[in-house]
Amino acid sequence: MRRIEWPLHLVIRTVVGVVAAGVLAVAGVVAWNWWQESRATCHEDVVRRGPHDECVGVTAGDHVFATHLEDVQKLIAKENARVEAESDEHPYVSVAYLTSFTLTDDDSNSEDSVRHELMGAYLAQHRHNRGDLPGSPKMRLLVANSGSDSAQWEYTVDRLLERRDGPDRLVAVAGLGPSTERNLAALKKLSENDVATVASIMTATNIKGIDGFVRVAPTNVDEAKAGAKYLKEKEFKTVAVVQDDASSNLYAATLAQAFREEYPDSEHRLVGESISYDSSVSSAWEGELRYIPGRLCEAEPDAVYFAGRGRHLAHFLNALANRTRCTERDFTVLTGDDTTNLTPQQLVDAARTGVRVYYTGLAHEDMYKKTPYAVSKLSAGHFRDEEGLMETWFKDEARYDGQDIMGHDAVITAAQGIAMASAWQGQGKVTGPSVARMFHQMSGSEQVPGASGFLSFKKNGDPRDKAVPILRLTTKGDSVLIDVTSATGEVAREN
Amino acid sequence: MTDAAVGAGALGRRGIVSLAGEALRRPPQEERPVTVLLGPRGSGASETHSALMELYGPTYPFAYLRFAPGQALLPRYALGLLARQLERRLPQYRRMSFPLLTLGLLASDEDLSMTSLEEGRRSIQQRLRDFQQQAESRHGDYLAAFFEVAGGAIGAPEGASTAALALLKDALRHGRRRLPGGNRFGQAAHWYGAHQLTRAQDRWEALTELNSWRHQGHEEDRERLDRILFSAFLEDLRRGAAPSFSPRSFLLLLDQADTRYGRRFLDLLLHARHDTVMANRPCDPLTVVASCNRWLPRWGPASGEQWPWQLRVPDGASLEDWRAHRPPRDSEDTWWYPVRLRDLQPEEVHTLVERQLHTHPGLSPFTRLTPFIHRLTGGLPKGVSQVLQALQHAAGERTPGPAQERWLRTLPDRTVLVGEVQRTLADAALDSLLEGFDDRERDRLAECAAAPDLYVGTQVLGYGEALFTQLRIRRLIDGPGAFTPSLHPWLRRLLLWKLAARPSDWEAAHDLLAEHAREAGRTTDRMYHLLATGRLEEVTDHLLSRFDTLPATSWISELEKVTAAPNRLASVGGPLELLATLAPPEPGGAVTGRSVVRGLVAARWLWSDPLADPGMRLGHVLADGFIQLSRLGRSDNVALLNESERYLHWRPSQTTTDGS
Repeated sequence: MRRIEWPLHLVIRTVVGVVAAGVLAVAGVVAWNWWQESRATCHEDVVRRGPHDECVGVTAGDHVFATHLEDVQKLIAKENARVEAESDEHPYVSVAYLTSFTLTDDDSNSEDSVRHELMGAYLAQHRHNRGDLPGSPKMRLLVANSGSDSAQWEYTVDRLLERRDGPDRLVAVAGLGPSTERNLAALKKLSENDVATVASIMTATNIKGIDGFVRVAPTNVDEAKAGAKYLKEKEFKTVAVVQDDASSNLYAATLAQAFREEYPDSEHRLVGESISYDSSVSSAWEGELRYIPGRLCEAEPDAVYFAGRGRHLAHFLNALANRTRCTERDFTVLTGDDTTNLTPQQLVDAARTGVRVYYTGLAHEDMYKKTPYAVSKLSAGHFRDEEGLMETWFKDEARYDGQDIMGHDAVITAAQGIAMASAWQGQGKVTGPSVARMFHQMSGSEQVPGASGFLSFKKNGDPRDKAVPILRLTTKGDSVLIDVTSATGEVAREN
Repeated sequence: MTDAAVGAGALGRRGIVSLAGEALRRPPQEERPVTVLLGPRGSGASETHSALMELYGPTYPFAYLRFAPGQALLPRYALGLLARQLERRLPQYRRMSFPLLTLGLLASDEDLSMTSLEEGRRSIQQRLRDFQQQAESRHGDYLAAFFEVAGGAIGAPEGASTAALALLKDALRHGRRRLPGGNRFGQAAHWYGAHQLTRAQDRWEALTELNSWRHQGHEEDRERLDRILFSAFLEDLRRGAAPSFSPRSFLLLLDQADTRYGRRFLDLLLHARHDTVMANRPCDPLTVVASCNRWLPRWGPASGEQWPWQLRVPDGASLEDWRAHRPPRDSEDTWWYPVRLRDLQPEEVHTLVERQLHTHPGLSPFTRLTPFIHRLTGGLPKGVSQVLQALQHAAGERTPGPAQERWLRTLPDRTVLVGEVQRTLADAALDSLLEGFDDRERDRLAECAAAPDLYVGTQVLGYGEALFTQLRIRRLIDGPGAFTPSLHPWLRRLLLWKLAARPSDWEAAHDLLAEHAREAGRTTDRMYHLLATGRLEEVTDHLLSRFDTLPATSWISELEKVTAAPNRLASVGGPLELLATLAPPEPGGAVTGRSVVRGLVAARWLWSDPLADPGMRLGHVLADGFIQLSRLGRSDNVALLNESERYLHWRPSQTTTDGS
């Protein structure tokens, strides 16, 4: 064997140097990763991700995703801490409220709407844990942010799934955001992993038949049908449908399709075919909306059915108000529930256009006053201005959009599922699948006393005969309840 | 490599330094010579060791050992001391260890007093451990124990530089702390069991055998023990040099190896190496440089006639030269590489003086005297140093001129410090050169020194060949090949200085030698001795008569030979004053052939003695003399004019025989 004759001390120095360099390099990488991670970590299970550097993930309330959520998240954190502290005496399971809490221009929801949802969710937690709808086991409410446009849904869902076992015992996820492909993917992944899901404002008709999934909002079809019925009842003979062609906008597609199927009959007809814009072409949709009033002038409809998102509606109304043709004509626009996602300012701006705007909402606090048989008195009472808990807790909050009611109804549905599962299997055996199974047992005396209406569910997860409020935008930008109807015309009532 | 690179110790030894470097750089298993630096005492062997230590010590493991004459350094102690030094940790190599040697030394250390090999086999392992622990508890490590017994042999080479001393100190201080224990202890024992010199095959019985050789055996057994220990030492070195990150070679510096124990060491070393190589095993990786002031008996008669080697000169020493001239490999002589340490040349003396200025700035006025120093000492390094030491004591004689010349006239009687004792330069130098000679022998030798041919001197004066042989063994006589076996010029000058202090003996010796020359018909030699006794007129007459019969060149040669005679002239006065006394001008300033020849003889006689004419100021007188001689009407006066020219522009020459 050949002798190595390099000077040993130089070899040792070199080896030590190389090893030291290696160690330093590894340490550097580790340190860099640690720094990156620490920089990326907003809180336990909440990390900074995506192009907007937003904090996404799951928290029991210790991390506040956005400043506007601070008050409600503090309340949730406090309640969660209490539940944990009493866990020896009162076991608990967890329910997460998942949606996009960090919003950008890419989102159709507004900060107000998601905050109101979370407020309602907290009310439901409170009612279940120590309120007027007590149940066992107790509920920890986790707040899960899927990021703007739910771009980080996968990370957040993975963190949620990690919490199925162990002390968290996550059994259900509520909320789930609007009807988008990403939210649908999140929903499916949760379902595939035995987590019960309750959508609050997801209305797209084609989201159905998913295991363990129910929703508390009427579907787009139901909304469209209810809207069509209302227009017919008010004797609007011709209607032009303006539709968003964006393929990812399931909400718009189903709304338009359902309206087209429901409205035309011997006395009523659709005019002005194929009036559409494409919101996925960001450089064009605003321009497209500017041309639509001209076409509507030509079609001369009695009403316009706008099948698109609320923020597009605002632009559409603006374009309509500033039309140069048929200025003598008054336009009546009916649209879907996404109008509730407009901010008060946007609503005021929309109202100032002078166009009469009706929309099928998801819920409204006056529903009990208008149709007391259609909603739970007990639940609705918490949303009343004067004596409700919501007013007590969130005194300065203008809860104009009914999203708080939808958030509440979604979580109260999950809470009832938990209580029902526990009643038969014991507190320790409440699981995602067992809660999901209970959704199908919620009929008759077990229907959910929702503040947006009594809730029982079809096999595909849709609410049965769900009350659909018809709202009108006043000139001040407020929403006034005009009527409560449903897709079938028969609203679910208390048994 | 230049001399400057290796310090003053290597002046004129460049070939030796490069030879050692060459040997150290060769692959471990390659054959290397045992280089022997042969020269009289004071020829600079120790300085050469120091230079080698200084140059190669930082990069190669080295060990230095001095076999002082009065010290009984047994081979086992020598090996222990060497191993201890070679274990020194050098950062560029893995650490060297000597498990075989250490085990052999341990096994033969104390008498195990066992009645049978079988009994010994049972208990020796434990006993060895006990010995080792005892030695380590007393001395820190086992090999360090050898300092207790033989530490005096380490010392430091004479004239060692500060750097060399630091290296040596470092080598001694940093030995291995502990023996390699455990399994390696047993592995080492196996080697002894398998060795051809042990009868027992069992490893532990073999170690017991080693013990009995030393404590219960005869001389033959002890010889066998030494041989196996040397074999173990070389095997350890072979094994130590084999792995990666090991040195290619180990430098062994053996000073005064001509002493009894030094010779014994060399014999055993050569024997062990030769046995190994003859058994077709790789050679050991030792680079050995030994210094000897004497001819080694194993080389045959000091005349060198029966030894296959011819002494090499340091300037031409190299591995290639060794390979080209080494005797056949079937003889142990094949490993020798004898190098004669030559005297320094004038320019080397000059360099040496200049280097001394760094530590002795008081010598600066004497730098012009380097030709004088060289003529006086013949270039013997120790002689040069001693003269320089004496010159340091010159007080008001630092300026060139008559006063300085008068001071130098009695330089051998100036004092130098030897240790803490004041000695005259002549005594100090003679003590060094003739160590071991008693006063009687020295007196006889001084008388013999009257003859330019020492052999003739010893024969004529009746002191026999023994004295002559002694000097030849000590390399104080020019070696084989020299036309005349003459004493080293420095030694002869000192001896003659001492003889001059004994006027009757001076006269008697020269008279006897003159008579012997007359009987032998060697007129020139007779004239030489007549002149030494101050008979200038007779010599002048003889040379005047020869001037008419001899060709000019022959006459000049005869003049030179005769006037090389020593003198015992008065110690007062400079060269010109002495000349005026010896050859006063003819009345009336007349120039005759006789006056010219007498003047030339006197001037040349004084000029050839560096003490009489330190500055060679009589060169001009000699040049004038030859010109005057050329005017005496000869046909071949060109040679005389040339000679005049030569003295006018005298330059010292290596080939000159002046001053002898």
